[in-house]
Amino acid sequence: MKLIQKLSLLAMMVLLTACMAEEKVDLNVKLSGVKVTRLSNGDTINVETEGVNSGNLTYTTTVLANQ
Amino acid sequence: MNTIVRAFISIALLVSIPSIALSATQFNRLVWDADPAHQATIGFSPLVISINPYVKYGFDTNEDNWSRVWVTDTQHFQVGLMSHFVRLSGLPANSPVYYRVCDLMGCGQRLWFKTAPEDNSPFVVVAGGDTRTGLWNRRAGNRLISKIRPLFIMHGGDYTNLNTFVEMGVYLADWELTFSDDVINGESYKRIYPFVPTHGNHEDSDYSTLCKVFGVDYNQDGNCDNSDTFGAFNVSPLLRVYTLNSQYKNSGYASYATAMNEWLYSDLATHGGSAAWRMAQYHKPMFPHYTGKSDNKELFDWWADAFYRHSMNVVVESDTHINKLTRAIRPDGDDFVAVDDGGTVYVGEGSWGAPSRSANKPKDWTIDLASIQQFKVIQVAEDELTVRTAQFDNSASSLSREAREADALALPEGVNWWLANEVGDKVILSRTAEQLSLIENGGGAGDGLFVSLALTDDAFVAKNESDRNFDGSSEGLLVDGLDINYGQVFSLMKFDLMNMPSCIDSDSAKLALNITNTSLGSFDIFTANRRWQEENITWDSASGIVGDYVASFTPNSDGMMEIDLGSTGIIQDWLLQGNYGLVIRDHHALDGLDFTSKESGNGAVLKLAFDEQETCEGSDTVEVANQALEKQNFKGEGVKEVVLAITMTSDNDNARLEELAITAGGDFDETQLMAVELYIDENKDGVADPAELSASGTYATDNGELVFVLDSPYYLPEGDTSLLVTYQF
Repeated sequence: MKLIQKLSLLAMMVLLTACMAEEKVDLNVKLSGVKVTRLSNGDTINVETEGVNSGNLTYTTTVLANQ
Repeated sequence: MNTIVRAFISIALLVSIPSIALSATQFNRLVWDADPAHQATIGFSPLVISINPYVKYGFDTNEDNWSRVWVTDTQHFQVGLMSHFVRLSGLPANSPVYYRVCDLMGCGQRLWFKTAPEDNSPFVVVAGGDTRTGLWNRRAGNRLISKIRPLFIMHGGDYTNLNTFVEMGVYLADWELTFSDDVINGESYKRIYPFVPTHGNHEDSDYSTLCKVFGVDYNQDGNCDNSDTFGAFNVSPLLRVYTLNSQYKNSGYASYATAMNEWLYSDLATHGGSAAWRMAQYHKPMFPHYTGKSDNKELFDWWADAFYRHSMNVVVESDTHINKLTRAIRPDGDDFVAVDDGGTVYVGEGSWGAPSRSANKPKDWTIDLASIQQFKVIQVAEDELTVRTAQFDNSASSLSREAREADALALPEGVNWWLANEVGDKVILSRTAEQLSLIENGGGAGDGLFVSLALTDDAFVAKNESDRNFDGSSEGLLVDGLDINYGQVFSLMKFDLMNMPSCIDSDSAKLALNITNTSLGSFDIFTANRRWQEENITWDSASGIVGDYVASFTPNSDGMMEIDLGSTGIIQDWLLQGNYGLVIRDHHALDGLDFTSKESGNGAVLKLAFDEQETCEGSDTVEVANQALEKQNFKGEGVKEVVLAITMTSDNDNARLEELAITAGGDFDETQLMAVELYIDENKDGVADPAELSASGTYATDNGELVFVLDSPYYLPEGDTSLLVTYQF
């Protein structure tokens, strides 16, 4: 590759990078139910799942700035 | 004084020194043979010699009001047993009759009995037979009668082994154990129970035994002869009792048989319908439920059809020394068939002392059978007749005179009732329009629930082959303190509890074993204390598996044996804590026990009567809690991150995880995720190792719910289990 070509490609990358931005998105997961049964007789065991969750989570993604 | 010694001395004195007058009389008995609402025959024997014996009786306890009746009949049974009989008539129905046997020397024990009702008042009857040997059990059964306080007793014959006067004396002395103790108006009384005797094969040496010893005169002809072995009478409008002589099938008694059967067919046709219920007793079963006894086809041909056509409701058979209960059946060709539109229920077969034989010949129409000591306890009411099988032990409380007076159908607490397949501790009969019997509680109805639990696992383990698994061995199950080949051997068994409710209040639990090799040794039953499987249990792997003591037993007869497990809480523990089953181990027994496994024959059965409870302590045994996440912020595509970490805690190893559901929230669009996975973090390192993957899926909608269904349920161990949910972004 000639020098001019390399410089051109580098310029495009710099330009593209300058246009990118990070975005944080919140998410969470909660346990909404479990099915647990007794081995002995197959009866369902009541299991309380209230309050079991991941707490607040974030996922960071990269997007184009003009978007 | 030992009753044998007492009887023997008494009879010996009677034979050898008849001139010495000691006191009045002994061997009190009372029989019914006709119109029991108004008649009864009092029997007794001289203690040595009794001069001018008589009975004084009345209808209250003021002896000044009593009447005197002289002996109406005296019979000699062989050379040594003289019996006096006084027939009372004109008695008021459904009333107490108080009496004393007197002679020149004075009067004996105050006794009382109750006449039969002449209206539809209900009552309790005891029916059994074969008291000829096994005196300990015979006496235990007799004592149980005193606690039950029946209106009367039906005896199916075989009172003694050789029908000798000495044995009969012992039998009559033991019979007094049936009497109940009462204090009435400050005086001690014994309540004596009328009984209705049957001729058994052990009375074949003298076909007039029943009238000579008990004073029955079934045909009311005033003679004591070989014909006094069959008859019928109405106890009340509720019940007509037929007593037949199966021994007339013997050679030389054809004319008696003909006379009896002609009378029976006629009586059934003319008087059978005069009572709401009909019951028959005779000695030999038509179809003994024991392989060592041949079918009595002659009896079937004589009676089965007549019973069915004339709506015999219950038949009590004896002779075999086992216990059985049939469905409602009718004759069909050379056999019976079960019917659901009305038939006759046959019960039996006589083990009131005589050693139990193997109950090993069930028929298609048999509900259940067992090798146990028993008699039947039957509650008779206008629309319902209830049959129970009482086993003989000391567990029963005594019904008081007041309790019986208050409730004619009352039964004492704590009786060791036999639990039959399908019906539990009782079979309840109603009548069809044709007056035949219908079983109302087939399938386990009644006050509570009844189940007969089959084995899921059984095997024995042997010390001398400590790494060998004996599941399915042709030898069945073995227990021995020192087997010549195996050394010490013990057996394990586990029962199918699936679909049982988790919370129960069990009334009783009985383990039925089919004994094939008896032992006089003692054997102990324990709970097993951890999980095991029949396909891999060995002596080595069973080390330390013996848990809590449950019960002991001595398997001294072949066939089905029932062992009361007493501590029925073990079933509740199995349901909630883990179904580990039982261990049967010798109690220093050098004589081993063999019984059939589910592979080698009739496997053990656990018979359980119980009530379902809504809740019970310890029923909620699994909890779930958050674990802190190592990361809360994620970044990058394609990376897999733990987004939910939880701990499930089980306080036993009796739980399994089948499904787990999560619900997403927040602005993130979960439908864009590449994968959502559930891991069982076995090594608890907080890392979702590929080997720990249990289920995976994707969200169908943003902020939707995802349900992980485990391909195979995960068995939660006792303690904590870590689970991880990952998102692959």
